[in-house]
Amino acid sequence: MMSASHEVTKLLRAWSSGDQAALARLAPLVEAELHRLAGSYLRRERPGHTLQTTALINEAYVRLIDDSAVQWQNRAHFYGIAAQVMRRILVDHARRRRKLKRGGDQVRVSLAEAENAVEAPSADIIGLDEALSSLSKFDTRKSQIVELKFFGGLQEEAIAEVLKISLRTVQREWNLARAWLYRELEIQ
Amino acid sequence: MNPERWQRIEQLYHAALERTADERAAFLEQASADDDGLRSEVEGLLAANEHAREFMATPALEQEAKELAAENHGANATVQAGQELSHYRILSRIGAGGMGEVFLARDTILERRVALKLLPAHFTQDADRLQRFVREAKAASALNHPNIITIYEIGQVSLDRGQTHFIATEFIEGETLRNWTIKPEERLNQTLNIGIQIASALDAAHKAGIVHRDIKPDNVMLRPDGLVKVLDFGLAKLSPPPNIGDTQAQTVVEGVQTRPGIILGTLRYMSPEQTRGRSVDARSDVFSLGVVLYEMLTGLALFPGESDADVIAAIIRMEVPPLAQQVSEVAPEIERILQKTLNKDAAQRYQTAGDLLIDLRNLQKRLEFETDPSRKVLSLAGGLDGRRPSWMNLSAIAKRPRVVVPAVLGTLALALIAFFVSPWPRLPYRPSGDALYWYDLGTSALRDGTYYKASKALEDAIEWDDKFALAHARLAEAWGELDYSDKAKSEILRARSLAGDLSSHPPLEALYLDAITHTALREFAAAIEIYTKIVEQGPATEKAHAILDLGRAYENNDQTEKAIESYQQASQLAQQDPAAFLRLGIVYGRLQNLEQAKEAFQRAEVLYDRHSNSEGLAEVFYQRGFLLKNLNKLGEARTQLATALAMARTRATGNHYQEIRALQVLSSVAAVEGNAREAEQQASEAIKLAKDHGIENQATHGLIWLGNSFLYRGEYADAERCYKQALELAQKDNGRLNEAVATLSLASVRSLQRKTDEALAYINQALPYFKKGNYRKFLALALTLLARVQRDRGEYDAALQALNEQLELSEEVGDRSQEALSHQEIGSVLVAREQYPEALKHFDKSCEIKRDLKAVISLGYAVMYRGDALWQMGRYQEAREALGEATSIAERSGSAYKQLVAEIHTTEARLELSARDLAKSKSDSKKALALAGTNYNYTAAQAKHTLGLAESRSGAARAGRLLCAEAVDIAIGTGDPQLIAGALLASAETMVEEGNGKRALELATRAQESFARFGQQESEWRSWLIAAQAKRRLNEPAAASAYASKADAQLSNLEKKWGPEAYSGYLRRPDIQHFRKQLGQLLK
Repeated sequence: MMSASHEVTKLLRAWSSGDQAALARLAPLVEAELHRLAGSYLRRERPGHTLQTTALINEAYVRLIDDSAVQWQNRAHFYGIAAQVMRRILVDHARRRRKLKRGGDQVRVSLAEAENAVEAPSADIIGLDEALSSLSKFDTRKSQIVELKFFGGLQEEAIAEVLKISLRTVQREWNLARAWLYRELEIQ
Repeated sequence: MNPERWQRIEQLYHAALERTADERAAFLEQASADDDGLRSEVEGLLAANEHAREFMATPALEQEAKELAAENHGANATVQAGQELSHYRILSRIGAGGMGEVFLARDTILERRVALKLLPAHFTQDADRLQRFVREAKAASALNHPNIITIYEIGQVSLDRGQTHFIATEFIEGETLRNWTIKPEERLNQTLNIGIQIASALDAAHKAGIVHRDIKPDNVMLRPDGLVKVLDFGLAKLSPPPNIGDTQAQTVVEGVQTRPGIILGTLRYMSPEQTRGRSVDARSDVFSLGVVLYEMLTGLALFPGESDADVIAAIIRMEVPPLAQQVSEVAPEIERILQKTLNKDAAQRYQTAGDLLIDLRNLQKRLEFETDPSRKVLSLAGGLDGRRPSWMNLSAIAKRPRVVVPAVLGTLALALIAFFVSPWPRLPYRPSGDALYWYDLGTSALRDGTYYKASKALEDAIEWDDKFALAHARLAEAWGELDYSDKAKSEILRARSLAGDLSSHPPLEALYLDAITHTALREFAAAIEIYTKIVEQGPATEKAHAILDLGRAYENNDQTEKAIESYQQASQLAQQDPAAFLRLGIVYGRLQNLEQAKEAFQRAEVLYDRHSNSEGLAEVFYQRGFLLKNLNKLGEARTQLATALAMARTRATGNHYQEIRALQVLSSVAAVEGNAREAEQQASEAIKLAKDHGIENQATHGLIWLGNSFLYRGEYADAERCYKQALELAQKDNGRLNEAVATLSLASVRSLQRKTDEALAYINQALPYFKKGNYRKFLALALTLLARVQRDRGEYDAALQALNEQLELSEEVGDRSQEALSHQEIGSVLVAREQYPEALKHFDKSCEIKRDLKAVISLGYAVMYRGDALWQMGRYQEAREALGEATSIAERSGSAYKQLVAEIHTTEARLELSARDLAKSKSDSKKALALAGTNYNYTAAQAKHTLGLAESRSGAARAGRLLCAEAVDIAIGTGDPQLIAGALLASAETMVEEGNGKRALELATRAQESFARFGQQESEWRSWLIAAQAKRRLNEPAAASAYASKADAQLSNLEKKWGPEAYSGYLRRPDIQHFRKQLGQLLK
């Protein structure tokens, strides 16, 4: 787990300094986490044992600031990049998954059923990605907040810190952005 | 979207969100009058917001992983949830193993849950073998042995992959032994307990000629109640004989990489003869059981090996290492039993499982007799090699990939297993599986703080199995939390009668039963003792829950600080557990400690949200709303409560209990806001709902609450109406507690109206019930009210006695808010007796505690009383500061604390009158009078005679006299002797000013008599002074001088009464200096 994060850091840094190929190399790492996580859901483990978004990114960051060759201007910059990368990888993943999906003949067993629990309505990641791009055209900050929170897995307090705005603003903007995106997806 | 428009939308959206749902339409209409598009845009967003609460709640990575998992799941599964196979409807997949996939399904004919195992086709191709398996499996099941799983049906269905055989068995809730986790010190007992049950199953099967052939941890299920079930009798016969190198047969598990050359799962538990492929008999099962027991005891793999060949070599040749090498202080007996069980030569082993069973049982009995039950578990304690972790589980032993049948339960089951199975081998009663299922749900809901859900689940548990004592007890717990004390009592009685003699129960179970009994009977001190014991002695898995239970007991016992301590501890132990945070929030809220309450609620909200626990989430909103309402933050309260209400309503199951409570508090918010119609409407809706759903006590509650909010606003008539209705309803549905509470509330109305006779009658009606039932909080309230009424009747000694008892009691149990209240009330009795210095000490103490507790509003009252005592001793500056603080508290708390504000103004008016700032005094009195209206007679009477005196002393003698006369009338209406005497004396003073000596004398004398009777020497000396002045007006100088001497004597008594310091402060008062000058002239 540690070494995976270290790898992520290195790659993120490379990507930030212009190495676009890093993205392609980062994707498998994030996907490994995805599969690990999926596996744990399948085995009905508590998610606490697995590396999740925040942990993944935080781990990467902690390792990064230890590194003297830091090229990030600041923590905010790092989180911003990390959330963007996560977004691209996850959206790509969702796209591929959609392509792979066989026709509608199969009734999918939702995990919620398996776990006998109530599942929150899940966001359509691909649709969301598109709606988020539209949002960023007229309100960059809100789209950033969504990117940091939903894709980057950041807590609201951390987002406030990253964007240098108050927690209250984060919450208000998140609330409106969420409503707006929800409606966009609904209309679609 | 253009940025300006978006900005406009954003503004409107947030502004609308801050308004209540009802106000929004009007607001938007007005704010976007000229722009329909804008308005509909904002409305659309607001509507979306309502539904979007859960939207994007799971971070994308986790969500994508879940989708992926669901898809993989779907792709690998041959059968889907919802699909019907024969008359079974698949509910979910619970596992997959070498012997096929296992599903949880519902038998649609018999309406019961079953475990459905689909056998892989290659197992069933050999018809002969299949026949033999079916025969054996059915025969084993037919033994009807409690430790052998019951087979319902073996049949065939047609799937797309062709005919498939299935086995439907009883559904076992629990874990396989593979996932068994146990503390080292409990290991021996549990191993014996489980081993005995397996041996017993094998013994029965062997006697019927059935050999299991595949005894291993994965084939042993542990039910939460400790019952062991052995699975898959005969099934091993279906699988091809072990063949090194053949991996195909046993590797169907997804996601597990298989290395060539490995047979999974079974091999490690095989007997030597089995690995050689020879025919096996009962003694082979004995060997396998031996391996299982050895591993349970040591936590180590007995036959480890990198490859199958290594494992087989070990099974055939390796000497079994003595247990003593692995664990210290092993009983020699268990060593001997295991060596005999694990003998390589079948002829040297136990020849039957029955023989092994006898030895295991004897050992168990011996251990029980030899040592004290709490100590015997130590025979292995500390015995485990220190290098190994203290917690182990069997799955950790198996380093190599394996075939697992995942079990169905989460942490709760584990906790329960540890709880039930742990050091107590026997169980007097074994509930049915379905009952257990609901019991587990109910217990977990209890621990989540979701009592309604808990009560429903536990009712279901009892419906399945009415003899399930623990379920009755837990239901009693839930009823208690939901305030159904009578139901709780009858449930606990049922539980106790079912449980019989507690000493025959496993100790922990007995402790819980006992603790819940005490709780239901409201014997909280005893409950605290037992929960403390559970915390200390219970298994670690139970610790967080036990501490939470302990906190509840402290809370119920009004030991708030202890409760907070426990909740904090519980929340640290189980940081993902929302219930402790919820309770913390509630308790902090009760202490009016807003900041910490908010923080705790926030944590609870996040955690409930994370667990998708909507009842818990709604509860957080409700409790937060309730707190905000009590802090008079009405707007915020409304938002929270509306959310709670909406959540309670939208839940699929509907949660009327929460719905009703949210409506009730919303109604009292409306009442406090002065919106009587809305208040009534919501209250009636709540009451109707409560009645419709048989939650009568909530209907009564609702009425009492509505009454309370009227009472706080000083609307006594409305309050009285509500309380009377509540009383009627409570009497009708036999809600004794509610009846007593309604009666006490009526007493409170009467006391505020100063109708002390009626108040006393009501109090005496309610008091015995609170005493008998040990409702300490209500008892304290009733006694405080009683003291207040006694004080108002001038029965100061009785009042002080009651209050001192209260104080002692509250100090004893550490109920600080009650302690603060007692000090305040004692102070006010002492004020009535004019013992200001002593009164001040109590007010100081009260303020100190309330400040400590951050109990803002009640601090306002204490500070005001303190100010009142201070000015009497001439300490104006401190008094003004205190009153200023009280004012700012009252104003910050909003318009609802009208009475407090009126009282503060009256006190200020009296202070200024004393300081001879007559103009200021007049304006303060007028403010007080305007607020008091006709509602607060006491305040009105005081303000009026203060105003009268100010008028009179500033030369408006007639106006002053008239005002004082009115004050007397009002005071007489209250029946408060001190108030009447005060008004009479004021009246007398104005009459002296006006020159009516005769009437002045009459009134002053009446006042003096009253003051003398109640020991009010300060007022008394002034009465003598006014009487002397009246005598002088009547031209009776001798009498005037005699009265003046009496006044002088009483005045000097004050020095003794108060001490020199307070006395000299008093003498510095301008009004007193003025009076003394008059006295000096009269004495000449």
